[in-house]
Amino acid sequence: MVVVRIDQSDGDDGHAPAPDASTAPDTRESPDTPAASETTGARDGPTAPDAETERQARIARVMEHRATADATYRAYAIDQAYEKVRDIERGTVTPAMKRIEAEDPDRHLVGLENSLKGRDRLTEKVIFDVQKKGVTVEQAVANVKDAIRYTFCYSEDAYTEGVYADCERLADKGFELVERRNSWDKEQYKGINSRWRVPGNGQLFELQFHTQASLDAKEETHWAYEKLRVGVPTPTEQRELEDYQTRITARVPIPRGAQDTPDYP
Amino acid sequence: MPTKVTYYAIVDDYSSRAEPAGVLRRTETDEEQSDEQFGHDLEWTYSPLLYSYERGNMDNKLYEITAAEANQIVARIRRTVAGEQ
Repeated sequence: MVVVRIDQSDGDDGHAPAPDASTAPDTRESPDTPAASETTGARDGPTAPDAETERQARIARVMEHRATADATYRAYAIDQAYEKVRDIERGTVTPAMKRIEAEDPDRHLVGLENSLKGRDRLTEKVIFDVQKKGVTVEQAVANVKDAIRYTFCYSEDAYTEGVYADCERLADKGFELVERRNSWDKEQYKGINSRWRVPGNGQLFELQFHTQASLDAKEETHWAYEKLRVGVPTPTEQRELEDYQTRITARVPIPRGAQDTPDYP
Repeated sequence: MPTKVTYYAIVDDYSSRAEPAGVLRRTETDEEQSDEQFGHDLEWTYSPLLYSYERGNMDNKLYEITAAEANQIVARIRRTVAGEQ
């Protein structure tokens, strides 16, 4: 896993000692100011080139300090957001999901221990949005849809009716359906993913609806997806990894009526 | 197969179909496939967004667009970034 460090600047040393005038780069001889070199020595006089060099050094120091401050603030903001999300997951959403699970013994929640996204992965997503989309840390954190996530696993026979029933149960408990995407007709992935909003605090969480076969295919191809997601695979590798996912996913039986479950909105 | 390029508008929570957040292009040949995204860093760089989208990730929506529409998005992002500096 690639871990993006945000608590230090990009350079080797985020707190390099500030150069003073005597150590600032000073390699240029000024053809315009011979008198200065003759009377005060090449390194001592306040010549125009020296002033410019010092000005550039000051700018570099300011930018370096600003980058360090930005990284520190970013790390703090992400930590704060992560703590808030964890409290909501533990105090509100997971207990509610367990109560909903108990209402029907024919399907179950899987991977409950992973219902909270790891801090490193959340950080990775936030950094990407800040750098690639030009948004603030706060906006980026709010845009992480699956910081909290769950998966229901059904038998094939009970899948379609079960998905509808559980969507109703969630709505009855006050959760607001924000989005639902049906991928049963897709080549790379089979299942239904949905996004919900927690009443009161607006926190989003993700709920996936799978059969055992679609969940197995998702997990079997996870390594390939990770290679596509984390690294920079070559064009040949990208093709091979996608072809592999397509082959595995094609084996998944499609439950009756699953493809008719509508997207939302 | 001749080289095929497909463009996608990237729409997230801060953007819209009228003003997408960025643009992604998938370049395909017989043996290869390459996904690249153009964003606020003003570079075409490798992007896993379409792969994530194909696996049900809902962080972004991707809409297939024409090359001309993609060029318009690129030009708009360049103007936006230039204005920010």
